[in-house]
Amino acid sequence: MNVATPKVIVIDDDASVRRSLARLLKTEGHNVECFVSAEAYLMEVEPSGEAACLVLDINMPGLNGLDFQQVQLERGCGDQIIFITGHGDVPMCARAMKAGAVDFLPKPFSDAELLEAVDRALHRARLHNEARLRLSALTAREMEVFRHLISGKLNKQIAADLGTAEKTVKLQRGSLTAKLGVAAVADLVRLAQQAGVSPI
Amino acid sequence: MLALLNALVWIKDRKAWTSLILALMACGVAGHALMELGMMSTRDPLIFGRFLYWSHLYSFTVIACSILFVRLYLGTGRNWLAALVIGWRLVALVLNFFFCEVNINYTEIRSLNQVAFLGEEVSIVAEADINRLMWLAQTALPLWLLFVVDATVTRWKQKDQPFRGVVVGGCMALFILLAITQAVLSLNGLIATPMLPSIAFGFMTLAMGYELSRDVLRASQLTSELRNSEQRLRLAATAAHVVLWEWSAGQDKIWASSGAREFYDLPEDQPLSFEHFKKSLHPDDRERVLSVINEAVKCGGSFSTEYRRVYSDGRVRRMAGSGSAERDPITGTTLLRGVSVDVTESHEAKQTLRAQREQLNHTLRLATMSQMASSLAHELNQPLTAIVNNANAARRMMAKETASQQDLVEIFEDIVADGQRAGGVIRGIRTLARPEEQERMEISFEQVVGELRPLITAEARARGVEVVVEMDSPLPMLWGNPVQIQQILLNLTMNAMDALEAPEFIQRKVILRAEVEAASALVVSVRDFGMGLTTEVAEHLFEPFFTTKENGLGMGLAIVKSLVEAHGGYITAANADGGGVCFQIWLPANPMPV
Repeated sequence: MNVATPKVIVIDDDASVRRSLARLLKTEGHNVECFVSAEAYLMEVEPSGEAACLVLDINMPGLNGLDFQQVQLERGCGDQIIFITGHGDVPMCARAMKAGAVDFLPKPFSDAELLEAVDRALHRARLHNEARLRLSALTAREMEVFRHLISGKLNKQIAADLGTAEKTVKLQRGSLTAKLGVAAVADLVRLAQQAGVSPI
Repeated sequence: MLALLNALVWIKDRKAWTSLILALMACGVAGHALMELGMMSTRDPLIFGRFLYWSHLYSFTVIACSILFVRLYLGTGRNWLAALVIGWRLVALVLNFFFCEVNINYTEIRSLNQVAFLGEEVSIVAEADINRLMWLAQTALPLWLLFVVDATVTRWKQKDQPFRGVVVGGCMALFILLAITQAVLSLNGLIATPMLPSIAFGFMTLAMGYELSRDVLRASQLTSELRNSEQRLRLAATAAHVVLWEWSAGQDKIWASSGAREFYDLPEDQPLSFEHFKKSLHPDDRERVLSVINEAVKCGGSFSTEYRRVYSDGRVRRMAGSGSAERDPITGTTLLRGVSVDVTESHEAKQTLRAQREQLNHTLRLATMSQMASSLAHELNQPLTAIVNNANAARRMMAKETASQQDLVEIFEDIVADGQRAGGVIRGIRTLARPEEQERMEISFEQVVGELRPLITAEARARGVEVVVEMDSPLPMLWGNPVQIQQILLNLTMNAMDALEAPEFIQRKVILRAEVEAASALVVSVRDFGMGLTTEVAEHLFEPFFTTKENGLGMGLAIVKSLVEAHGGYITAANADGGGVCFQIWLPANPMPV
C-alpha cells in the first residue's frame, strides 16, 4: 500500500533558525513547511488525520512545545515530534519522550543528528498513515471489535461486552483480519499502535 | 616735641604715614608761630614783610599736611577737592616767592602800629597797600574748611566707628575756622590784633596728635590681644594638623605656623623656602600646583588645590591647600595666605569607599546577569544553531552540486547576520560583566541601549514579555559611565518584567522610553503594566534591603538611585495611568565638568 511522503513542519519563533532549518531539510529533498508559532500551525492546518514530522522549538512565546505536544495527543493526531531546544533539562526531555517524542535535540545540533531523527519520524509517520489507511477499510462495528481484540480479550468476553452472540463476534473478527491482512493478535496490536488507536 | 615723637614713630614703623605727616605739620605750626612772633616783635615794616613772606611756606605745610592727614586717617574726603586746595595754595606760594615784591598780602607796608596785646606791646600793620593777589591765597581757605567738613560728614555716615574720626575731623574744622577767620580779619585790617592762626593750628595739631597717641596706645593693646589670638590659633592649628602659611610672591622665604617643620619635612637649621616647597611636590602634580599659584598671584582671589608631596624618606602624602591672594597697595607685591592640611587618610578612606561601592555595583550587576544566564545562553544558541544549520545546508548542497549561486549568497548573508547577532550578545555581556571603570566619557544613549538590547530581548523572550523601546531622535549626549547607565536600565527593565510575573497580567508589556527635555536633559521612563505600587511599598522603594521579592536582596533600586544621582540626575516612581508602575529618570545632558 502506498501513502504520500509526509511533510516536515518546522515551528520556531526565531526567523533565522527557522530559515536555516528549512534550508537544511530541503537539501535532503524533504517537503518543508514553516510556522512562527504553535498557535499559527493549529490555526492554519486543518487536522486531516495524516501524520507529519514536526521539528518543534520548546521555548516559544505563547503555547510552548511541550504543551503543544499535549494538545496534539488529545486531538489524536499522529504527528511525530522532534524537539529542539536551547536549554532543555532532563525532566523536560523525559516528559517529551514519555509523551511519544521521536527525539530531543539540544541546540546547536549536527545535521546528521537532525536528519537521522527526521528520517525516523517520517518513517513512523508513514507507518501511522499506512496503518490508518488500512484501518479505514473497517466498518464501525469491526473497529469496535478490533479495539476489544487488541486489549487481549477472548471472543466470549467481547460478545458479553458488546451484548451479542459469540458467533457474531467470530464472523466480524474473520472479516476484519481478512481486510487488514493479519490474523495474529500481536500483529493487530502493533498496527493499532502505529495508527494510534487505543484499546477498550 | 610732638614733631620729634611722631617722627620717631614713623622711623620705627615706615608704614605709619600719618605720624610723619603729623611731625611735618608740627614743624609747620612751630615755624608759623616763629614767624608770627617775629612779626609781633619787629618795628621795621620791611622785616615784618619778610616774616609774613616766609610764613606762607609754613601755612602751606600746615594746610597740605592736614589735608593728607584727613585723607589717610579718616579715609574720606574728595580727592579732587584735596588736590584743588593744595594746588591752589601751591600757586599762591609760588606767586608769593617769585612774583611779589614784598609778599602776596601786601605790595608795600608803609608803617607799623604798636598795640597792647596780652600785656605786651606788639606790632601790627598800620598803613599798607594790599596786594591784589591776596584773594588768591585766601579763597583756598574756605575750600580747605569745606574739604575737612565734607570728609568728616562722610566719615559720620560710615557704619564702622564713626565717632573717632568725627571728633578729630570736627576739632580740625573748628580750629581751621577760627584760624582762618582771625588771620583773614587781621590781614585785612578789620581787627586790630596781630595775625595769630598758629595758636588755632597748634590746638588742631594737638587734637590730631592726641588721636594718634591713642592709636599708639590702642596698638599696644592690640599687640597683646594679637599675641593671645595667635596663641589660640596656633593651638587650634596644631590640634587640627593644619599649617598656616604666608608667602610674599616672588620671594623665597615662606612664613609658616609652628608644626610646619615636621609637616614640610624640614631639618631644624633650614628655613622654609618656596624652592623647598617646589622641590617636594610630586612630579606629576608640580606643574599643576605651580600654575594654580601663578594664577592666584596674577588674578588675586582665593584658590584651593590638592596635591601630593614626596618626603625625603620616599613617603608620599596627599595635601589640600587653600588660601587667598592679596595685593599690597603700597609695595605692589602679592601676599598669599592660606592653610595646608594633610588629607592622606581621608583621601584613602574615600578611595576605599569608592572601590567598595564599585565592587558592590559589579557584584550586583553579575547577580542580575546570573539571573539572565539561561535566557542569555538561549539567545546565543539561536544564532549559533542557525549558523551551523546554514553551513551544513551549504555543504550538502555543494556535495550534491545542487547549490545555485543565489542560494549560497543567501546562506552566507544569513551566516554573517547571525554571527553578528551572537557577537552583539557577547559584547553586551562583556560590557556588563567587566569590572567597573572609573573614567567617565561622553556617551550616546542610543548606543548604550543598542548594546543592552540583545540582553533585554533575550530575557523578555524567555519570560514571554514584549519590551517596546521608544526613543526621540536625536537624543542629546550624556556625560558619565556607560556601564552604569546600562546597569540602571537593566535593573529597571528586569524589575518591570518581574512585575509581570503573575499569570493574571494579560498585557505583558514593558515600555522603555527616552525623551528630550528642553534640549538640556534626557527623561528616561520604564513602565510596566503590572499591579502597581502600594503606598507602603512606594514609601520605601529606594531604601537598601527593602524588597518585595522572595529571594530579593533589596539592593537593586538603591543602587539604581545612587547611580542616577552620581550622574547628576534623579529618579522617581509612580503608578501609571492605566495600571502598572512608571519609573522616571531625569539625566542632565552632557554636563561636562570644567
